[in-house]
Amino acid sequence: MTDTPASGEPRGGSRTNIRDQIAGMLFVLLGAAIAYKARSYTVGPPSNSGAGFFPFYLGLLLVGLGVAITAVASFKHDPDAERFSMHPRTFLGVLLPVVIFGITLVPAGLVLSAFIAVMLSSYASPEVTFRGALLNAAVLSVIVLVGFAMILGIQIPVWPNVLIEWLR
Amino acid sequence: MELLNHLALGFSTALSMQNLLYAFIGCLLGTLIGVLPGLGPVATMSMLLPATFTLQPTAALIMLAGIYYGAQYGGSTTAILVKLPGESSSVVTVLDGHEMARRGRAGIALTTAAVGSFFAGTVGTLVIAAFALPLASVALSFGPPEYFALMVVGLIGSIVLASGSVLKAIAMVVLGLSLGLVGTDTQSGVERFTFDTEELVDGLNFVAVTMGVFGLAEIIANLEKHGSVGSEITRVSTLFPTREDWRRMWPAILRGTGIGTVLGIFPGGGPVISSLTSYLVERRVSKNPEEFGKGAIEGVAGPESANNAAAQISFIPMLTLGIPSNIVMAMMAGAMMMHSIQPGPQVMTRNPELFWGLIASMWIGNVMLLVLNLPLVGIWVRFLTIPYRFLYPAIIVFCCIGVYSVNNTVFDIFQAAFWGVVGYGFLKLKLEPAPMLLGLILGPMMEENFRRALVLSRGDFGIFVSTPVACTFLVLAAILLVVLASPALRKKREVAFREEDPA
Repeated sequence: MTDTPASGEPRGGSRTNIRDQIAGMLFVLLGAAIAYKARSYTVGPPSNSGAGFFPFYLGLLLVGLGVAITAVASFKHDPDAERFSMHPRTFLGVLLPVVIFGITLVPAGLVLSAFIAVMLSSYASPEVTFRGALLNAAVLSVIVLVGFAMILGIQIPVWPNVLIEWLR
Repeated sequence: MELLNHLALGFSTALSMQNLLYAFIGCLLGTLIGVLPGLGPVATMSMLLPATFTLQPTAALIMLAGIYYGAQYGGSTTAILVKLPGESSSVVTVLDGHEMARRGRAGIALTTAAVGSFFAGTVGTLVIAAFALPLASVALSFGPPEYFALMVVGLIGSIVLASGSVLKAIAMVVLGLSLGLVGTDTQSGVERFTFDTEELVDGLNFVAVTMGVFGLAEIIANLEKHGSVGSEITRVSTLFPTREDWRRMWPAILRGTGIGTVLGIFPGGGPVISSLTSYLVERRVSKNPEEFGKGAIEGVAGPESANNAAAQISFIPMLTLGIPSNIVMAMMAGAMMMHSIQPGPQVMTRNPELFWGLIASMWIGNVMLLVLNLPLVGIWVRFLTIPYRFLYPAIIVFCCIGVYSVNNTVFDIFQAAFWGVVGYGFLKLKLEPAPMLLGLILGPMMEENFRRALVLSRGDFGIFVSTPVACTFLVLAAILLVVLASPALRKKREVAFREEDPA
């Protein structure tokens, strides 16, 4: 792995399970947000419950569970604490192509968008060479065109808008 | 007699050219993804879900089911040949299966796995056919409190599948239930948690969430793990077991099938737990337990039968009660809903050809898999050598296209990316996403039954305890919870999940 782990997470000797503490606190926050938002809809009595009833109590339950998780985590240590690592390059290399694909799909069409997405995704793996990525992108664009647009006949913009206008 | 009529209807549906073709495609794809490391049935099914829109619902479900059990077969092939469990249910097969392969008995191990799976699949199909009708008629008599309690059992059961802390898994269920409420409230028409986003009025896109949390996050995890493909691919010699092998294999297959059939019925029981239990049982009853881990044929026959029996049986809760017991069944339920068929006991009476056709196709699929797998094993092994760096860009692009075509909106692609980020966070925090997704599916149903039950009882929560059936379910859920939290079982779960745990 050429990426270096980006985050310096705790040493193995840590007495608390930080991973679980973070998770627990996130649940508390989320639960509180859900319950708070649910209050803006009608909660109502159990016999005639409104739209806010179920989510309000789910939110409260989530807060309770979050507190419990955080509490338990404060007494237990994480056996895998040292294994915590992040690789921003992989992360971006997988998710960025998805976002870009979403942006380019309508104006640029399926074929070009797939090509761009595959090229971008090669960033995720240091093993992929530029030529390899080009080849992969070209092959996949054809597969996508034939498989999805022609054989499956999925409703999707295939070619760039500009090209279609120009051909008209 | 009635059963025979139903099965006849099923076979006549499943044997139509079109349905046979889709069963075949499903099995083929399933085997393929079972063999390919880093691509699971959930991601594949969600990629293909949109492609099944144009099909008839029966054909669509037959194909999706084929993917599911095809992946089970394919997963054991890689477990035996390259020591890589293609699916989590084949984790224990590695122990003795790969040892057999290393001793030049790879072909025999493969045959054992295939024969065991086929036998178990056949029994599983028969059990579904026999129990579906009585179960569904019981389910039809259920009112809102019973359904609510049943869903509680299902959701608690789904925690069995989650590795790690029980508390965290429950929190994930509750989070999933809340996420399921996004969109218009069916009873009051109020838009909830939509933040004035038009695309969210119909709720979160289930395919986008699954794809992000499973598909995309899994790719990141695989790439981080690095070099996932094993190097030592074993050569396949003879496929034919000796007489001695058969003699040792049969009892194990029978026991494995029994274990899988029983455990498969429980929500969340699933193939993973069944195969592990079967392995432990085989080691216990064996006259020479020291052979286990060194290529004991029972260690392949038992677990492989158990996981396949359980895989078949896990269709029962979804088909008869409308309550998916695992994430694959949730996908199947999602597929039904996309074809505007509400999963539940009424499917059997309203869409009998779909119901019985699907069941018959399971058996046909098992026959196809037997034929597909053994003679063609050389070809499947070839796929293992495809480097992941060529695969993951394709998965990313297919995911994008699939998720777009559900509603023909770009918004869902962004939604998938968002859930990819969330899924990555789950991975790092060791939060299991499967219970959340089950919650997401069951959320609206659970709320509806909960509220209706309370309307019936005029606000008295006692209705969940005073109704005998509901009370039984809730007690069952409580027992399940206690058992899950018990230290002895936790250790066993840790063993089961250790192998597949992504960092």
